Amino acid sequence: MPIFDIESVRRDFPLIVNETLEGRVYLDNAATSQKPKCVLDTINHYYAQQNANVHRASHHLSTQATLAYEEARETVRHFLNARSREEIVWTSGATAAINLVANSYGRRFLQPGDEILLSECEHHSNIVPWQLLAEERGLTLRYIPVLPTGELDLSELPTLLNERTKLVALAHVSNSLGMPMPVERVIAAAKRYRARVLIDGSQAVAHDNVDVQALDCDFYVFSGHKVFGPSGIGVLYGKYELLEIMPPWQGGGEMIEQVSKRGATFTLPPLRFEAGTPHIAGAIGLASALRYLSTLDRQAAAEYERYLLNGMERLCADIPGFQLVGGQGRTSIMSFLVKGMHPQDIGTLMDMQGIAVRVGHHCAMPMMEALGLSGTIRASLAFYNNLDDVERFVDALRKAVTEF
Amino acid sequence: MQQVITFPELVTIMEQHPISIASRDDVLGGVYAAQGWEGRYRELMRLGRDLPALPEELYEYSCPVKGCESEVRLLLGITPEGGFWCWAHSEARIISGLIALLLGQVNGLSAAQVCGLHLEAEMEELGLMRHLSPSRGNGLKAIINAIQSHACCLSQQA
Repeated sequence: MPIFDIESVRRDFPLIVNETLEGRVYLDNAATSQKPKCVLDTINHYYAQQNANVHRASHHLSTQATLAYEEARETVRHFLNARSREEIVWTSGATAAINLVANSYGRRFLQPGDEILLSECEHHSNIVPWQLLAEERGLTLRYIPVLPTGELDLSELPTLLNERTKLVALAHVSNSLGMPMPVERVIAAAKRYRARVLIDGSQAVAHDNVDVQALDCDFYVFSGHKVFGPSGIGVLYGKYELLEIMPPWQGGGEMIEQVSKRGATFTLPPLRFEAGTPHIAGAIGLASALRYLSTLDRQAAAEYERYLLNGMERLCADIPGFQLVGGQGRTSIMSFLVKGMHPQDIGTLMDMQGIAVRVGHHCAMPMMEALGLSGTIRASLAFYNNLDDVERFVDALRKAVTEF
Repeated sequence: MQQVITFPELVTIMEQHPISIASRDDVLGGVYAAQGWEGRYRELMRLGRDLPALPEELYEYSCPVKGCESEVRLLLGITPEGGFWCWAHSEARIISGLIALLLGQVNGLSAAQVCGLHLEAEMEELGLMRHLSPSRGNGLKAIINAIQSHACCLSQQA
């Protein structure tokens, strides 16, 4: 067993402590993660002692709130290893970040006949904004096909990428199966055609460190709630030279420089893209979650998660009809089926035994279609899960399969 | 959009549904008698397994009740004598079992009687309210809404 002080980490998460007392097990971490106490304290402290609007007033509280808000941006910059904090735009989540790029960069710079390359493994949030844009601008969407193992079939990449490809949007890790996507190879290939690349890091950030400079992607997005931060806050990282030439998407608030009755001029990024009063408590809460992660040995945490996942798979192997979906190297997700049973029935019988898992198409219907599945059952781990959680899950699954 | 079938050849088939007011005690008795959640869910799964899927001629007119976790097919019909009949089915057994519980309350009643029912009360009595929560995309609530809105609409027309 890897060296990781799981019991001490577990105590940092009040909801996990409470669920354990109530006899329940939380294994739906890919949908949303739980929050360490420091995040709850930060939010509480913000509303109790710092709350004011940001970037608007020069009074004491506004200064304090603005400082905390901009320090939070610096924390995210550090977390992603971006060059400057001006490359970090606050959004309401990964979905809003992708929509921002589609509606700002996409509408301004993509022309009829241009192509966008996606993969069949994408979450709907990384498909539908591009479909809406494609319809409006007369673009063509292409998809890198998925193999039965859940890996991408890159053999078709040379024909899928061409001089018409202007943008590639790809998950860092697939949300339904947990398969890591070959982002480095796709980014390198896209560069040869000068296509811009957006990486959806929603399922990656909770499990690994990210370096956007090493990746050399143009955009990187993630949601706060999946990385132990609050819901309603997310991040768009964009290379500054791109953000600088992108028009605003939403108008109002502090995104302006000058407004007259005839029109307006806009301020520089990132504030250009932060119309209206932002989710200040969310931003500083997310920074608190990222600071918490920086106190952990993330490599040890990732190894520990792999240890739990391997144990889970091994213990499930002899459950009658158990079928794993996806290949090797998955990140903290076990997506599976049980022959002869509907996933929804398994989900209900697991819920009745206090085990939280997700059932269905996991907002990745094109991928399910490509794999010929209507859905799966997904158990997803975080580093605060322990071996007891895994064993309770396996016992409950065995009971659901053999006793009903 | 859900329509209510009145074609005589189809409602004749619909009236043959094995679960109705007349058969409910025989068919559903096991669920009521079951002890504990395990017993109740075993009975629900058994009911779901036995619930007939819509035959082809009915399926053609049925509507999908969209949910995140499983799809339900639904068809409503009314006989010339005013008998209200519902066919519904899901590939998932527990949801089909819950559908059977609903059908046992409505099939064979008049539209006015169905309109006056409190279908959720039975779910509550059996400790099955969790299946009606809005977070469950299984369409059970949508089925109840479809049954009752059509029944109430029909009884106002009558």
